[in-house]
Amino acid sequence: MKEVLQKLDGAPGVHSALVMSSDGVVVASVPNHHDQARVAAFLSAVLVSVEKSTEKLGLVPLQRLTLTTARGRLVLMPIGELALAVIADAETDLTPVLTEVAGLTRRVLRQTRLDVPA
Amino acid sequence: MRVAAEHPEAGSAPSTLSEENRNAVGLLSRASDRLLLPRKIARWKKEPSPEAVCELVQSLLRLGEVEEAWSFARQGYARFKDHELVRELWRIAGRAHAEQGLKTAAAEIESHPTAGAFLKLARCAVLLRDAETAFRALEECLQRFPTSASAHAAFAELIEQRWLRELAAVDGRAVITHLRKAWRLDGADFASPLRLATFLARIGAHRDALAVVDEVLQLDEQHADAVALRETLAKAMTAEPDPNATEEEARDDVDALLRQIEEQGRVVGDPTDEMRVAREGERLCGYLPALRARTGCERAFVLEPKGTVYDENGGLGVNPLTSLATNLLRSSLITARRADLGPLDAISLETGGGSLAMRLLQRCAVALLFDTPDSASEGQSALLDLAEGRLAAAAPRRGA
Repeated sequence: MKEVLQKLDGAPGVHSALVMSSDGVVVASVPNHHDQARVAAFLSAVLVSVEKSTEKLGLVPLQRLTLTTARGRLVLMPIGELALAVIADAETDLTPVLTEVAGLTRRVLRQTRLDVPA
Repeated sequence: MRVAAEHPEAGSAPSTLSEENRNAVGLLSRASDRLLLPRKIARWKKEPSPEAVCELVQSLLRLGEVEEAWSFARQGYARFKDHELVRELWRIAGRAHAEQGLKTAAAEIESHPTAGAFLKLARCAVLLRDAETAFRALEECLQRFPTSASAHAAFAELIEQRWLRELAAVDGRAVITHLRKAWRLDGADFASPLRLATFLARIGAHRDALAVVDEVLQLDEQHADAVALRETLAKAMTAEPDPNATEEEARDDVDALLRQIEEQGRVVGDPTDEMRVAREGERLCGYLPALRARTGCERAFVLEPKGTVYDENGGLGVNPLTSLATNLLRSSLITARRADLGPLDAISLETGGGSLAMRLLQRCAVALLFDTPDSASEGQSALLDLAEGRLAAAAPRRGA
């Protein structure tokens, strides 16, 4: 998973990225520092806070959540049971790189499941 | 420009001529203004009227006499505040005056930097609604002149304006720190401690506020503002008595109060804050029809910090949509703040069943719900236009 995230490390406009579980546990991150755990925990809280309402409104499945702030953007993209979060600047179009990383993450997840003995 | 005149190139001649024509017309117009100026001044002094001051200010602005124009515009505004053109010219002259002040202050900083020049630059930038320049000027001023009480006080004022908009605890703490420094550096100026006391009272730290006012009264027991503020604070204190509180308990936990305000998104018990939010919400409601027409969104509504949701027809009550919007806004605000991402500007939720675009405008937020997944960016673009004043309001009043 870390290797997949390396794709985002150094991508134009990207400051940091992480893959997290839906309950806010960091699976992998680039660059690796303790702040990522805090971001993951808060993002998980955001997801939990909107889960029920989005289901009732038929706003499913979640494709992307973007928080735009004075210092840039935080983009959250669910990938299977995990979620990819990217902190980036406000201008760069992240769609191509995010799609690529999401695809690679899905592939890694599928491979991991195949490796698990039944 | 000179080079082009001396070395005309193909196609450049007509523009040069028209430039000369414009200059000639401008010269004639200015000459007429110059000739008629004494008469216009005399007319204003003899028979003050909105027409007289408007003509005078317009002439002075055309002549580039910004200082004088601003002086007469202020006189006119003081007498004929209700006249629309007088108000408009007062604004125009004020802006021109601030722009001139900005240039003068910048030049002064270049040649002979003083704390006063930085403060002037910041003041002019604030008048021109350029908060970024004002912040930069005051930050640099404090770096160069850390003992300038006026700079600390001005910086606190600027941060307080931002705190009123965003309610960030970090800004609240900075206001207190800078006001305390301003007071320490200039003990004879009671404006800073009184502002500090007012700020502390506003966030609910009444005991700390009272302590500050008492310190001022120890130095000047006749200070009218301090006496009045003490009376107000004493009333607030008697409204929340706690006779059994120990000395430790009787102190206000300012940090906790600021964090609480940040998380709740409102200043509980401050009527001016509630009025400010209500006014803003009402104003934003006026833009909802224009937003619907422009984006074709399914729903458009306003969210207040305390969680009230309404559109131009009134309150929307609790339903999955309002719950989604309020919960998403509140949790995103906390996430942005606690994850050190800076103040939140906008939220886009894109799903297979539709999308939701929200934008914070001062203290309230406007939300647009779309039934298509990829409309959030279009919604954000419209909301950005609203934030930057590029969207025309239909302006029907809420509940009207």
